[in-house]
Amino acid sequence: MKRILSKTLMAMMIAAGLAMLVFGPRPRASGSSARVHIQYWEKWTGLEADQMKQIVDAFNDTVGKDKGIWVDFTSMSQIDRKTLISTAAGVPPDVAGLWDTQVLQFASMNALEPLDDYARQYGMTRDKYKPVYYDGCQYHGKLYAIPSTVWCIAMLWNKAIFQERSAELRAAGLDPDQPPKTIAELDKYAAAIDTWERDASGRHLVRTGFIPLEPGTATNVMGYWFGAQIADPTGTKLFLNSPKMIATYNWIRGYSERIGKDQLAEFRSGFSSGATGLFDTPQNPFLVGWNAIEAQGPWISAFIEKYDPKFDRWHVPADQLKRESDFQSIHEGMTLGDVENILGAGDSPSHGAATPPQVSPDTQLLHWAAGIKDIYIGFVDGKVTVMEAKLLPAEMRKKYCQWGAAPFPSAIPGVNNVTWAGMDVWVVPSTSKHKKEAFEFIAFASRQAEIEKLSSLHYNLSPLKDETREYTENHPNPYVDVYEALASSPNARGLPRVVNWPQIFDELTQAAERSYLLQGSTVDILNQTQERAQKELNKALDVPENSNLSLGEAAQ
Amino acid sequence: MKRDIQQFGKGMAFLSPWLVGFFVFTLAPIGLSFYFSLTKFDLLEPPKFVGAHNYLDLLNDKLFWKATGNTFYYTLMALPAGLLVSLGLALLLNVEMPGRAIWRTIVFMPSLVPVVSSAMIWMWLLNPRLGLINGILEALHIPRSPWLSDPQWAMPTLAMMSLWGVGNAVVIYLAGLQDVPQELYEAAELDGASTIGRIWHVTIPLLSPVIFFNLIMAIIGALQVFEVPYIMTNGGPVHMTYFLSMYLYDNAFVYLQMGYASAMAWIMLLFVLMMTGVAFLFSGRLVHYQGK
Repeated sequence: MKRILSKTLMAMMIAAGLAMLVFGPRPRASGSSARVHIQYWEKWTGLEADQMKQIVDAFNDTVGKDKGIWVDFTSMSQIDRKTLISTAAGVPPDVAGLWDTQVLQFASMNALEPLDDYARQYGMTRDKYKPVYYDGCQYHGKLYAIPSTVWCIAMLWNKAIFQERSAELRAAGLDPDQPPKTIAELDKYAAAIDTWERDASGRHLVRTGFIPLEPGTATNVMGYWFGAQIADPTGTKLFLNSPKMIATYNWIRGYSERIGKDQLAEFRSGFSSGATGLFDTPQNPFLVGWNAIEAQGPWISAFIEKYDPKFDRWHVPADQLKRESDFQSIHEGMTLGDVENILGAGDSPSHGAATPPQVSPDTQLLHWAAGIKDIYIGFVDGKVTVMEAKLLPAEMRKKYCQWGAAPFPSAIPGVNNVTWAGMDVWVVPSTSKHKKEAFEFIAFASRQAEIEKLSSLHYNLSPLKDETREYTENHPNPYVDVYEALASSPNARGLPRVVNWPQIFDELTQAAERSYLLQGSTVDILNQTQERAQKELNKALDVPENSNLSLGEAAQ
Repeated sequence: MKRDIQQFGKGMAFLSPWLVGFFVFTLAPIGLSFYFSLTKFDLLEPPKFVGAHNYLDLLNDKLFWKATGNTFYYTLMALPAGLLVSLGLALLLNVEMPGRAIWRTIVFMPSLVPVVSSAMIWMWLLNPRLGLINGILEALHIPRSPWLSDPQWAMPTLAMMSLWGVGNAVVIYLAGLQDVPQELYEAAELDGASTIGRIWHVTIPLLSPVIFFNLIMAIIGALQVFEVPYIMTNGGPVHMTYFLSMYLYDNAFVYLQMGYASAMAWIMLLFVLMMTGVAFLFSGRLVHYQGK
């Protein structure tokens, strides 16, 4: 009996295992099975992923349909690691959305497919792009990535705080209606805006005009504004202790010396809510007024919209603010009387500055001014059929901004519009099985209409050299023109051309932290950083220790 | 004999799912990681044999020694604090009192919260400007502390935070306490032993195998600490909370130096073996097993 039971159990287990293998779950591709399926992995999640999905859907319904390609879109975290591991395993995605940080790192490991031939075929050449982004996708003269949404760094200032501290600013000989234009001026503005409070335990800094380490996005490339070069163009030699880098870090250190190391540490500690700080929270230090000036990317508009929409609606008349919010309650089928009860009397669409929606000739279109938006509502037979709240052109929205954006001042006289330009990119892993189809999709997503739509939705910039008027007017960041001009500037600079930037980045982070904590002299800190970082770079480049080869030769 | 072989075969067949998993997903990676530790390997290119180069590099790597120092510093703080607090709580919760089950649940509950969630909550509690802890300190006219952003405070703060998860150890101690014979307490009481005396002379010796088990688990846990500092400080400020496990992770998955990271993993294993070895060395004298 026991034997029978044992054998039956074993047979059942084997049968169950076989059944799983034969009938078990399979990765199921959506869409048409007749098409070539390409896998597209993207780092964007949430709303940003949804917006990219719209472009994927548009591809699948148009070009994909004509050319027999279907894109399967997957949004995921830690995409860099997953892409690399799957590439090594020979089962990579066909398109991966990475960061610029990985382009050189992955290209040097032969993890990426060169895209020059495909790009030429689709006319995606250097002259179509802002040079800083296109060049950032190249390694050893070959193109390994295509920029998707891009960004750069500008200086933001809080106009309300400038007004509040206008007496102090004027006393220091500064104009409270203008942002600083030189580094020396920036330091003066910062000192005049710094606000202190005293209690039983002493004097505490409660607001700063500016501190170099907040929010920290550009701290490690701050040398760019001082004319410093972090690495040579071949990516074999670092210059972390050059005189210009020393000047940069002395400037960082100068803030600790002026404010007081402990006071600054106490103040900065309020920003710390873990490794990422308070950046993506309602307590964003710029939005709550702890920092009056910051070096920031165009994405600040996303945080304003999410956490403090009033920042973009400064001095908007109260009735118009109310109208913007009341618009949410309008729905199709309402009568003109119902709408006017909520929004007040409308006027002619010609009074609006935003482009009115296209409507049929039998539609009566009316307009309501609502601060930074124009509301258009169309009626057919006296009932609502169309309703849209459209942003005013960017230039007109600026007057309602409690903040302004301008080029971050350069320390080198005569060198203007300096910025650090970063980007998200699309790559094709070297072991992808559908490279041609993958690029077909990248080319579609890179078309002007698609890339501008995506860039606007992501509160970023377009990598293309020329922008359409519609894009600049309707971009959610009213200062998009400032950012676009900076990104197009000859003084826009991308990441240093080294294959192990993540490692060098960490070294520079430590150097900045040590400088601000006054742990040793700037020269000593940077000498140590240079020594360690160059050793790491040599290791990454396989330069033998005590080699007689010059570093440049070894890298070739 | 034939029957034995048959029995063995059947046994192996039933064991095979686990055995295959163990060999493929545990033993083989362990062996491979040792091989990789002797190579330069970036995942994409085939591993290049470099002998003991990675190990020699580690000896000269200041950051490695800084991370090692931090790991041991944390272990030295978190280990005794964790053992004392969990044992103390277990002794308290073993006393007959109203609502004892509720108290036990409250103590155990935090260890059920996922590490990431509790780290996020603690980040807000410890926020020097907005956090509840500094708010309370301020109300009591005690100066605010910068906690995680101060080089001197960051590590003790993490060690203090580790006490949040002592619930598991408390449950194990409580189980152990149920095995202590009541008659020994009664005898000690008749001999005039005070409460402290009873704990010291009866409870601790009889609980020593459980304490020893918790000690070994705590050593391993402390030497491998990763998630909490990774989320809360990312190793900062100025590498003051940068642990060995974080340096290993950065080398493997950020800098893509798998060979170097593998060498580090083996050194880390060596540290765990050394510390548990020392613990075992002293266990003969200090750990008392009932019935022996």
